[in-house]
Amino acid sequence: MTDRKLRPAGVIAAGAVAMALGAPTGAAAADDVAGFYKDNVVTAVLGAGPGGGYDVYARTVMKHLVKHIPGQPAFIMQFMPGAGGQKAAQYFYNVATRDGAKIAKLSNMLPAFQLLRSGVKYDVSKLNYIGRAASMQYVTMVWHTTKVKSLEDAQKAKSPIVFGSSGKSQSNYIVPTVMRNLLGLNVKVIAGYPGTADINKALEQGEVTGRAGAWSSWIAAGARLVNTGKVIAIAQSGTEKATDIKNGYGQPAPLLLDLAKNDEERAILKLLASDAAVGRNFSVPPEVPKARVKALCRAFDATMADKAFLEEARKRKLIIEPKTCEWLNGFAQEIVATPKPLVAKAKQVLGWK
Amino acid sequence: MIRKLFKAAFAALSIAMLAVVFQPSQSVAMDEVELVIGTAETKHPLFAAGNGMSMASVVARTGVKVYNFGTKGDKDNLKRIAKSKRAINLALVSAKALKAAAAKEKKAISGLIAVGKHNGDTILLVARNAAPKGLSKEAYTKALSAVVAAFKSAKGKKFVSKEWKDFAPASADAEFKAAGVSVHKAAMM
Repeated sequence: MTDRKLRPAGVIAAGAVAMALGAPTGAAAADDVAGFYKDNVVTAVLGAGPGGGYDVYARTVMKHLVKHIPGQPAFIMQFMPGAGGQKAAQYFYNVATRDGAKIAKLSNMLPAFQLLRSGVKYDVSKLNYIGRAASMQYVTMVWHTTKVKSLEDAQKAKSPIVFGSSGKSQSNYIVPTVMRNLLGLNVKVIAGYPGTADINKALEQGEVTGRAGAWSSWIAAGARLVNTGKVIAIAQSGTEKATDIKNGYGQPAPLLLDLAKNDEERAILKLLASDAAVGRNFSVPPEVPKARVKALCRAFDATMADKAFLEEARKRKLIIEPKTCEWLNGFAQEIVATPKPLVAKAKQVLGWK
Repeated sequence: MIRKLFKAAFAALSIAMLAVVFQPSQSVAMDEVELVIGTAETKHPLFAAGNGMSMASVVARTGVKVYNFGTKGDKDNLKRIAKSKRAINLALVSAKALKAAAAKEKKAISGLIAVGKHNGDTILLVARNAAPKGLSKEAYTKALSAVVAAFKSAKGKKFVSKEWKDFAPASADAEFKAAGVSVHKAAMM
């Protein structure tokens, strides 16, 4: 029996090997961040219902993100749709625990809404973005029978392009309204469609002749229309120009931001296109301990470079255009610092009070 | 000396193997079953209950995870569970609302268990009959059974009760019968 006793030499050697193999006792226990996440379940708060683009992005990112968070926590999803993502944002900012166990995929409109909408109960400048998985480049598409193949054609068009929209706070309203009121294009907007699928149907039935929508949505739900040339891209909205989005003449569709005639117009267009740049973003509430925020930022970066994640994203046809937390926080700060007179002008352009 | 070294190496190897075996399993398996439960408005106690149920499903480590969906309440839940596309898989409904549900909604669901009382009415857990895309009927039944077991377990009760003090899982065959809803096989497993 005595021969089988674990002697000190054995304990030391065993401990060394166990530590090297990353046993729970050892390095992980010494790490506060790992210790916190190891014993916690991360809740991913989503400002939308299950099954849509928000959900697919969030679940795919979360599945791989937790592998890179020290302590490798499990995660659950919490769906909170309502008021165009405002409900989830207000809950996340004001009620959610500030310990880093809640991560949200909030509306990409938050920085702009903070300035443009009344009754907002959050401050984006205090939110901790941990990264962006993709931009939400909006592409303005027109129906092929309009004979408008480029933005120049649209500028010369005698009959108006009629855009379908699902609501005044949606990008499918904001983009064509900006095109009409700021850039002077002959455009009409019909709001009130329940969703993008209904607008696509209206396009096919000839009720409307245009729709501005996220490129990711066009190539997923609207792929048939894009691939058969039924719809033609004439412009992009956002801050980064995608060169693979071509107009009817095979040239890259121009960025609306580049059409600004002066600095003031450029600032207004940047504010109104900020949602595209904020994109598929992930954040934690204010006052989360800095070490945890930093660990989440780096875990997010590692996820975006993770081969298994990229392969799953490819299979799910998800566009991945990552940005770091530093970039996203800086961009959001810049947007919410837009001078008040320009915000007032942007509201005027949209017809908002 | 050689014997000592051999013993030390053997001990090290044993502990190392134990460390590997007992290391926390990878939190997210690719073949996990994810089910969405419709609960209530975010300020409603049943939404908090949904958070507890979600946690209970994760700590049970059965490979079945329940995700909480803050809806407009039991009527909305019934509508969403009976939808043909993007439907939820589980729902909390009051016995009163279930009785008053449309025939189409009752046909689309089966009863699982009662989870407690709210405002004097029994709150029931119901499941959509159709299995989620990519999941066989058998695998879906197993998943539902795992959910019921997780909620009924001592650990599960602790997690849900922390969020909703009136949580009291129990069979509710009489309530389902009264509402004209059949009881799911998973509730009897």
